[in-house]
Amino acid sequence: MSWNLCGIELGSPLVAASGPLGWGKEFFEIFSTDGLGLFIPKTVTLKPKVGNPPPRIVETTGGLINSIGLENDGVYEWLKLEDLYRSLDIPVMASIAGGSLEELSTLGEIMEKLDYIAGVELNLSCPNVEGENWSNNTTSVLEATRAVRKTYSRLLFVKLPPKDNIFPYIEASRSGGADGFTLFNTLPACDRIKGGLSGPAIKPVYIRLLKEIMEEIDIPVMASGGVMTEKDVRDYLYLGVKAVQIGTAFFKDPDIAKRIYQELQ
Amino acid sequence: MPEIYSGEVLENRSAGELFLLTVSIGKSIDIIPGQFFLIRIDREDTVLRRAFSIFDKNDDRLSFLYRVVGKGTGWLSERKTGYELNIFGPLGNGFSLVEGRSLLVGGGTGMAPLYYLGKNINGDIDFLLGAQRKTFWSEELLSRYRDIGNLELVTEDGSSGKKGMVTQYIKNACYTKVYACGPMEMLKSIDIDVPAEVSLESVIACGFGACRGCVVETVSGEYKRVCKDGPIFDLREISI
Repeated sequence: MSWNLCGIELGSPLVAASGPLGWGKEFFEIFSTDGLGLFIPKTVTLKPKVGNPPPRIVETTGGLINSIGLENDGVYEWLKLEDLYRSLDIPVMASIAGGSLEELSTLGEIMEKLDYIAGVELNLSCPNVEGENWSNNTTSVLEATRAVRKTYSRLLFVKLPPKDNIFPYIEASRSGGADGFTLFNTLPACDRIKGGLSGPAIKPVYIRLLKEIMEEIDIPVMASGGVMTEKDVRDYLYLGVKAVQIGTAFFKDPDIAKRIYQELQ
Repeated sequence: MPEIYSGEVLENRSAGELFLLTVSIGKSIDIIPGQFFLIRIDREDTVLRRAFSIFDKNDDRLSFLYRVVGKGTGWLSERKTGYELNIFGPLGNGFSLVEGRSLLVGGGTGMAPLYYLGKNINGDIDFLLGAQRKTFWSEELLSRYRDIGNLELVTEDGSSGKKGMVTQYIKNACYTKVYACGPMEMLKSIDIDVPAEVSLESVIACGFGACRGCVVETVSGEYKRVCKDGPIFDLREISI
């Protein structure tokens, strides 16, 4: 089986979503890429971010709320993982986020030089960083996308939050230069902590939102939200998405991609 | 290196207010005292594994001591002999062992990692275990601790041993090292001059340091990962 994500050949439609597996260093010391078609490391920012104070995760019924706050050591530390990313037998897409248009352009410029990166996923929707939510209005979505497009010429996906009436945001991002979309980031929620909800509880909500989009417009989409089983993957693929991201399920089964891929055969 | 094992339940029975689970993973592996395993909860409404530090190891048999506190441990307590548990580990850094006289302090289920630790310490061991009441422990369980060290008990209601909180009875005796495990408040109230290592508890998601969900704030203000930088920390890192 071969899958095509806007010109990038994927051996599997299963994508390791940005976040749960960090930058991949610890995960790939223990596990292989079996079953995965693409790896997206945890979102990188220009400068290091310490993240939010604990507690950062709370399990809910059928879900998980997280509020990590984009903790990461910054892009210059991330660049040191070049050897790891080159050694993987699957493509790697970088996830980036920034607090200003300038920062986003700089990150695009850095990514442009990296031939081992298959594309960029622009994270415009982290629900856990104060004052950095670009996806509150269409103008900032347009400007943020354009800021990256200005310096980054290759495959650009934009990750948006789950919301009704998202078409104007998609249109804004497309006119800013987005090639495709990751739909969706986690669902804003609160249970002991405020954060983003993931896990099987959100899947029916995401299926509904995505169904409306896929019926309406023809855009390349990576689906993300609540995938735990092969059936979940099929439900998303049925809607016409190009690939399906797996996130929270890695916590239950670090080798989930391998198992789901075998079941898909 | 951690691995995912299929652990066949050999026994899973109550021991006082706790449960003692023993599984066979089919081969003998190296485990440092204080390391932990993540056990998958095979319920559709849970997404996180549950973390348990190693209580004991004999050949290919791993034992865990736990208390039922929610739906995950509730489900676990209902597993019968023969059930195949999905077990991931060993994870975390583990205690650093020193020779000499050691004090091992456990509050509540914090006693769990201390047994395997005690078995691996070369030297005299004093256990100081605390709980709310006498019924927390089974006699059989306590006798295992007595077999490898001196055992002193503290209960909040005074129904067994000394009355009060376990930390009241930590003496600045001639210990080479103090090891402690229990609730954060208990660990923070430890006031001693000798080197001390403590085992921290946290909700764990990935277990191998990637997701940054389990961080604790150290005295320097830095966030450290309980699953990878810990769960064993120097006492001075978490308490002034």
